[in-house]
Amino acid sequence: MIKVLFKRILNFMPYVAAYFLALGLAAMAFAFFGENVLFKDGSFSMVKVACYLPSDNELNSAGFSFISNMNSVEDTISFIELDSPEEVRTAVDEGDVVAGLIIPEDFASGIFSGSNPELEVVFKSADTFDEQVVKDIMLVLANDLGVGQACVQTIYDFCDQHGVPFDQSSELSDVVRINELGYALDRMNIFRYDTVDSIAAFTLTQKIAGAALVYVFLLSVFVFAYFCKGSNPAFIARARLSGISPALFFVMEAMSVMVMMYIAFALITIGLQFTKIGISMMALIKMLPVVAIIAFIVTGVSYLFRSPVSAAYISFAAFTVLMYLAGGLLPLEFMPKFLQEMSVYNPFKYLITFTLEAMFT
Amino acid sequence: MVNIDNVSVKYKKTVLTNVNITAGNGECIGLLGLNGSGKSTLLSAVSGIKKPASGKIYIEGKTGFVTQENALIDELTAYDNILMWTSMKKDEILKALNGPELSILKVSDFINVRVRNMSGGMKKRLALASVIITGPDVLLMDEPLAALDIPAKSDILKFIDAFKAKGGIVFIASHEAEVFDHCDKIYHLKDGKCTLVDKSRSVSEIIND
Repeated sequence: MIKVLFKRILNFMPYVAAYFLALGLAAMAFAFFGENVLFKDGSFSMVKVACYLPSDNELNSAGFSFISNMNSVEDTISFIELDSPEEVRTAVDEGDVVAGLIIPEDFASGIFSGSNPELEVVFKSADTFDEQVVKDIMLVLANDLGVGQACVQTIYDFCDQHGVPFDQSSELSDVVRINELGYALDRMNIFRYDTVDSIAAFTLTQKIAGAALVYVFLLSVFVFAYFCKGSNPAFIARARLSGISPALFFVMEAMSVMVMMYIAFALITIGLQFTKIGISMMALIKMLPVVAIIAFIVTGVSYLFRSPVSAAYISFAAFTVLMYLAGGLLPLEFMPKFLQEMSVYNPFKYLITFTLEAMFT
Repeated sequence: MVNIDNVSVKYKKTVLTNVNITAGNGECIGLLGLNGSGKSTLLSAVSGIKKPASGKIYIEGKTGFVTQENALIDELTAYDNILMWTSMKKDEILKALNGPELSILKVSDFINVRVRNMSGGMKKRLALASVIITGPDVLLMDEPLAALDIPAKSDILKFIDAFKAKGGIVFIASHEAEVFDHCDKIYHLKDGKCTLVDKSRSVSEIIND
């Protein structure tokens, strides 16, 4: 019987391969280009942030210009400059903007006097994905603005002492101790990084890839419903008369489905090595429980319905809704609060979480 | 020998009450009735798959059940489908298929053909052969001639006669008149009751009772 099961697997594998190739390519396309929707210019992730910038020091304008031109900020935040801190707070309270940045009076001079002035970042609770990204960026900005201004001032001072124009500050390396200039110039590089949104985009790509994998595996009922025979009373009768209980027959078919799914997963893992998704090879071991759980779910669903077509379409509807509510098709952060809270009762959420950990850690 | 003693069976809306049938070696029992009259339910009970609500079923020997729907795997060959349910080796299977009884079904002619490429007649022959090869003493057949061509029907009926001649017991549930020519007793299932009917009467006459 085991020998015949292997023959069944071998003969059925082309159908499984065709399914995973077709749906897998579609899902991967979504995973690869999903970040474009969320993070590029003109996308709906552009949010408004109010800002108060006192005009008491030119360094304020210089520092602010640096941060607002960072790629991560430019592609994500639209700054609206207001005339007073009160106007900023009101704009946040009334929901006209998602956050506010208030630079205090004497901020630049306070940095050099050692009084450690602090920027004020005003938020309402960050519920959506956009708002959380903005919150993260704002906190980075608040930390970096002071450092940046101090660096700019340091370079200004060096240029002033040695009679070198500011835009030729790199020439100072001949006359200034390299570690001091290096420190200031390195800190300036903070403003050339665009890691905030690129990291978020990469994380999102992985998240979509992981969830898409779970979804594609669950929807493989479309193909495995034709493999599993347990819904057919003729097979159950045949198995019983051959001394095989229906439970054992189920386990044998589920294990066969698992083997086929695992082969497909191994091929996907190898294929993804050549992409930017960068799945860990350890996933081949770590994903075994996920593949086993999904194989048993898929076999169970196939057994529930007399016809493979019914099994496929009903499970398509059910799995799509459950995956949506688990944050598998749309990040939970994009959903209303009550749906986010409901997701803790959805087992698919944990399946996705485990898959992500297995694939990318 | 098979003795169905005062058996009642319930399945979905079908209820059979107080069924009494006795079949001796070499006998063929025909079960006649409209759709939903309980023919398949009774065969399931005799096979042991369905437990009777009351009464006893005594069977001497091993049972083989050829269900209405063929329990065959489309992507496998005839040989692999037989192998799936038996621990016999290839030589033993081929020897059995070419034996006096099973050779009537001509399964060795298409032993390496995949089920998905077979005709309805070939599938029925294979389904029957895969049951018979396990050596049952009592053969239960549910609509064995449904949607078959004339040669396939003829071969299956020939096989039934050969099985009986060897001392096997056959239970056949069918609508086909020609099946009942090969039966020694015919039972009519109607309204939950199973009644022995006169073999000389025509099938349509019995059904319209």
